[in-house]
Amino acid sequence: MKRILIFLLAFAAAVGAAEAKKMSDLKIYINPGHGGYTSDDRPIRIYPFASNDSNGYWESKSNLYKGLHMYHILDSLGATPYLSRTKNTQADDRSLSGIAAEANKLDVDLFFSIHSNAGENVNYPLMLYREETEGVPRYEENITLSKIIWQQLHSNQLPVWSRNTEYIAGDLTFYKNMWSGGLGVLRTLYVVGLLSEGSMHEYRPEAHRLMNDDMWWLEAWHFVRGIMEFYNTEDRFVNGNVAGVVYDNHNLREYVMPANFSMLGRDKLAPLNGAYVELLDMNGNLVQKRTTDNMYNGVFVFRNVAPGNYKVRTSTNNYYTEEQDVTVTANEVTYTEFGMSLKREFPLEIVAYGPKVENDEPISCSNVISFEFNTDIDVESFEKAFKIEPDVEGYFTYSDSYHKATFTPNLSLARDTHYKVTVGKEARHPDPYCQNPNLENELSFEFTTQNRNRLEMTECFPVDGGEVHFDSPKIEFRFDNAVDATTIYKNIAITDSKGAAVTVSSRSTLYNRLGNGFGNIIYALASKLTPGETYSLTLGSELRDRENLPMGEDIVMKFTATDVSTEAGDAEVIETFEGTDVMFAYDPEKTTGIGSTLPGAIRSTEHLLGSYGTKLTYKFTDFRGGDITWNYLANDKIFNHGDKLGIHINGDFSSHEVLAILTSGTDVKYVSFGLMDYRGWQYKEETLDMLEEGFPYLLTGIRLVQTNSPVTQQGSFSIDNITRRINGSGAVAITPADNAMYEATPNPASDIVTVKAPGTINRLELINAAGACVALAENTNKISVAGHPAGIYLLRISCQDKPAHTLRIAVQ
Amino acid sequence: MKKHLLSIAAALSLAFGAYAGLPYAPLALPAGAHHPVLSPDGKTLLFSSDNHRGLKAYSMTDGTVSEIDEAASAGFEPVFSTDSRTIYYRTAEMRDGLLYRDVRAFNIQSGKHRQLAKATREHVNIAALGAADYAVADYQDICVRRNGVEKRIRPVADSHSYLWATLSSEGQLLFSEPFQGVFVCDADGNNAKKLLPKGDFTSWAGKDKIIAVVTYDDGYVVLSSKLVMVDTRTGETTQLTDDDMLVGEATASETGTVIFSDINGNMFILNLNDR
Repeated sequence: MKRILIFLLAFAAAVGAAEAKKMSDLKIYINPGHGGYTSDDRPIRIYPFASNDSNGYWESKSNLYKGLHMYHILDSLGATPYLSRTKNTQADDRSLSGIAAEANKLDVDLFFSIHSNAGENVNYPLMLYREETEGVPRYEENITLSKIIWQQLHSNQLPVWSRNTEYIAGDLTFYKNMWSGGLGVLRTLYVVGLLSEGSMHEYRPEAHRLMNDDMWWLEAWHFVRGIMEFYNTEDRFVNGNVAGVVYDNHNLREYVMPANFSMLGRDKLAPLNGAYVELLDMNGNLVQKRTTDNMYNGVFVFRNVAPGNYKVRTSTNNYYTEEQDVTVTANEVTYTEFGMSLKREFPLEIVAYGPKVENDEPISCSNVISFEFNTDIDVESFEKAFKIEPDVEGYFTYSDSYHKATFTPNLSLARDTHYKVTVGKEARHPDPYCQNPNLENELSFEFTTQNRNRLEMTECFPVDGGEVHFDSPKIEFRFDNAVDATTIYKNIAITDSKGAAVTVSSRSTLYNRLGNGFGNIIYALASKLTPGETYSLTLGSELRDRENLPMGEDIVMKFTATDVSTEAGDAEVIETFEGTDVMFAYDPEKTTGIGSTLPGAIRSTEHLLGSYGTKLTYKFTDFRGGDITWNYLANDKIFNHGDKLGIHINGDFSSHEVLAILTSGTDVKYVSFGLMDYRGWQYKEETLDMLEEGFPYLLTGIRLVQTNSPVTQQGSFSIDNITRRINGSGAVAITPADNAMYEATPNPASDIVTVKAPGTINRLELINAAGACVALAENTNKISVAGHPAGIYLLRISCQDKPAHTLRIAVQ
Repeated sequence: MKKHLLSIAAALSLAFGAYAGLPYAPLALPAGAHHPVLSPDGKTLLFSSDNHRGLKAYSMTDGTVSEIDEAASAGFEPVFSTDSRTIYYRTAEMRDGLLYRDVRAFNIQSGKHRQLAKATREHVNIAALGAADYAVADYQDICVRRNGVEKRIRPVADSHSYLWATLSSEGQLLFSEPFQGVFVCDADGNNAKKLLPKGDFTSWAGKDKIIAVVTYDDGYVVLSSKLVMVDTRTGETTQLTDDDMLVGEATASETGTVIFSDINGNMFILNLNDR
């Protein structure tokens, strides 16, 4: 023990105050993130690799190679580097706490965790450091180091950056909305350190660059350069570097996954694989050479170049050779870009165009004017050379790397119009060295348009100034053609009276549910409206049909939200539909105009009040002449002349007529609740002046009469609480007190039924489910039910000086 | 970086033996306690704070907490003497960006400190101060001293580095190789036997029992972290904490006392003798 202590003390005495630092003083731990090829190793699919192909992009791989380069650069400078892993296998998923512990044990001066970031349409570096608490760094040096490294990485001009302002953050602050505790690898770290998110690997052009060894090396070089700056070391790089990107100066990048990926600046252009890049001294001697890889990045770096003046020359098949002079400075990177010009040693040709008409047939007004060229087109000269008469306001788009051009009218072509399109000879391709790049002969073609150029709205609910039930509101527009689904949601705007937006539920919105080529949109609103509030609705002019014809003008309207559930007021509810039985059944003998799909009646949760309603479904075979009757199976609801019958209807905007059927013996009355020219719940109430005075009527069914229409042959509507307001004369409803005084036995019955009543019985009527009187007995208290089909019947009992009373009996 | 996938944490199912269901109780320590180290006799628990400053001692017998040192990093891997009376530790300071660490000693009975070596940039093996026989992981080697003979060994072929090497009272060496797992072998590095495919904070918890923390993460955040025990004779593995617990660090003594923290710095105790 004593020997050890003496050794320690002797060593300590030899250590003096801080001296100027050299790279050889430094101990640096490099953590190139996770290893392996599983989902947490961050694969990004890039062309030409299949998903999860280990030869494609994996963050685990690019992190490792950056780390290995950093290790070797540090080692070559005399520093003492350590690596948390040196391979890229699944076994390399060592624990985060183990990595931090190893760095702590090694008494390193710096901990460097190398990563890249997820962000599809952006690209920038991000430095994360450890905080004790949010906003408080564990070491102030963490912030200084992070700033320096961020600047270093951002000075790298091989990536295209979307952000040019410094981005560093403490881990607790950065991740506070994602998880607690910050970064696992920094949590138990004692030493100064950071986690570098060098760039965005989900930004696909960056993923392609991160397949390149020069790119990995250059990021590692910037790391070390930043460390030199952080420590202000005596030793710096004595050489410099030349880095650049080779790409086509006009043709666009291809093979991007996904295809609709947006790109930044130069990344839109096609990087050139296999380009030969030479670094020449001023005497023309070759100093270094590179061939860009086949990973669609065009990246090259000449490493460790002695300071001085040089020439960089790039060449590749079918491109003009380019040269640039560069000056190399020690400890710096000189950046270059080579936008190379494709050789097009031939004139421009238009190899296809449209629309091409046959037999002078008029074409749709939705047509665009399209061209295909033998090479990429020079945009400026083409747009000057293009002419359409009569003039059409529109815009140009290009595809297939400018090999195709399209002129699209802002709205559409005019209808019934004869057009002439011309492309003059001033159109050319963009080869600056070609002697004859222009179109050799002017192109001209003509066509005539059809007589329809707008999507027409034919009807809507609500109409301007109309009302909509506030709960689960739906708004429907109908058109003369099926609509283009891609334009539905960006062309609807609903606001309340304060201008607050009302959201449309795309999940519940339906469209093109009409037949025979007609279109519609049933917008479902995502939340309830406020009863009494007035709303503004705008349907945008860019709503288009499947022919791509627009509406052309905005439709603007107002509507008011109401609460239909309170409109019945104090009316007596005689049917709630809350029981378990289905209360309606369609009557085939009183139904016409249907095919094999029979009308339906189901107990449904589509309700306005309570929990259930009844849903009635129909499908007519033709545009006209349909008529459906659904019998009411609980037809013990009596109405008299002057009473009011109310019903809540959830309309399907079919414009078919809904009627109630009231029956008294052989007399049948139909009470119309109007056309269903609405969608959603409404309360309809009608006064029954058509009933014959002195006779009680039973509610025996609901009838749907088809309105002549080509768009609504099929549909469904629901009904909920049925109400009654008694006029004060004639028969009245059964009351509990009345019930106790009337009795029919036996019940169920198959033969003679004996009736007990609070007075002398004048007449007994047995009424079936259809409302027909099927048996009659007068001046007796007995009536036979024998021979009648089993089922529920009403027994109407008429006593002297008393209103008629009805009992329900079951016949077996 | 990728969107965090906490949901997969629940899906991680480790191939350990059944959950032991041993009771564990929280220790009344200040919030954010980290880096537990238990004395060989199991009577003193050393720990540090959330910001890695200071070294404190918790008496397992009377529950009192005393502060040994306030310096930075003092709590990182302190070493007990064999008799559990003296604590050796190092503090850290940054001088112009460079890390310097000294060596200090503290006697529990007298309550006195002594600086054994001034701050240096050299790596110092304080395990050598605590015991005549010891093992310590030194990156790519394990340094083992036994019966006065010191060796540097690499018990596992193709090893990257070693962590948490300790000798049992019977001279068995326990260590973790970060990519290959947790092993025991003899003090010469022979007869290495793999106990776990991975594990951190390995510690002897009995003459033939070891504990380790087995953690899975997504590269950024811990998804699953369990305390497990392995019988070194049979290889039988027992999970000591339930699936909801995210274990941070752990320590143990051969008396069977196990101390572990969760990742939020709450410390718990369990006793393997309660099985």
